[in-house]
Amino acid sequence: MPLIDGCIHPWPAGDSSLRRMAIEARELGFDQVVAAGATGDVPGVLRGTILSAPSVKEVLSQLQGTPRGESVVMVTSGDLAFNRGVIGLRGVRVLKGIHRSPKGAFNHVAAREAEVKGVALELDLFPLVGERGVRRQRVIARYRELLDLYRRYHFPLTLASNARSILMQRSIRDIVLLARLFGMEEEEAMAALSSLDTVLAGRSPVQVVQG
Amino acid sequence: MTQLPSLRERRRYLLVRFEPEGVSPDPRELYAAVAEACTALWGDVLASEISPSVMAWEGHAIIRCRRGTEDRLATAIATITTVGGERVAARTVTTSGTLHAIRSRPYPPVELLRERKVSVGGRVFLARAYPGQKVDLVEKGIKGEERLFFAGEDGEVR
Repeated sequence: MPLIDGCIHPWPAGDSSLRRMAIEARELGFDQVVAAGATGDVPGVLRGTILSAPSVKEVLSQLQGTPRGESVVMVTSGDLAFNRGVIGLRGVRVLKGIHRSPKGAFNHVAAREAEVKGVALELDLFPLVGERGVRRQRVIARYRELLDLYRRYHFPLTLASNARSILMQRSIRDIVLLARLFGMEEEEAMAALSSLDTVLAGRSPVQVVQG
Repeated sequence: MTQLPSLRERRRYLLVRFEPEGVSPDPRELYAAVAEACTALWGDVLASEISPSVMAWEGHAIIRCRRGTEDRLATAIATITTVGGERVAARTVTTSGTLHAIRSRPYPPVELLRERKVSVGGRVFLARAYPGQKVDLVEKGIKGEERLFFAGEDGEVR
């Protein structure tokens, strides 16, 4: 299974070009990266589209303007009703920015729906690296709660550096160590890094094989 | 007072590579950044247990900690984003039990291939090319340096 950095933001959103970030990601142990707003073909890069809207209706209209299957569609999370609505939309692959959403924005019901629909929840590692003090503590506490839900409902989980610079990209080893901060085991972190492949293939992690 | 070898505290040494290429932080500022990262992440009690110390700067840093705390130190190092006000990335390459062993591992410095001036978006940068198609663009201004990171195949730096 390929190891994938769930989201990066290359130039002009950041200070590093897409090719340079792809080179860096390869050196850091990744097979692929999802690049938000990327254009052109670069080996090991999956195109990503981030949709941000205040309502599900607006997400739906933005989704209709996005070519199907050409990019990984990620939606910025909101409150619980919004998240549940978005999880139900066809074409949405990832729910991102959950640490910025209000508490309870992703509960057991949303977790079950995400598992059924095969929509991944992104855990953004940027605040673990870039924040300090109470802000980082809140994110760690939030991720710990989400990890409990993940262990119970087994919805797809992805880890993303959300780097805007090669200086914010982290190696697989560093990501595993950072994930340990909120109680994620190494196997779980590796599974999260490779889960996007399963999500994009649109298949369930468990397959029933008839003999 | 010297201690018997068997009573000495066991240490671990981390080889840490820094980016961007060519960056050479002051060891004191590097120590301050490592200590701050450890304290901010693990608190005073665990930071004292880790007891980080910058042993050497040889194009990369060798950082010492108590045995058993190397993962905690590596995690803290992963959260370092600036050293002495300069943006950097610190990447732990390997861990070893002795200073001799870590120094004996071949880890040659990355050589600068060429330098030339390029214009990107109406601004003039000094383009420094490194192996692996890496090109760092450096713009020196009154308020300091700004860096952009491109690849040799990017149209902007061709």
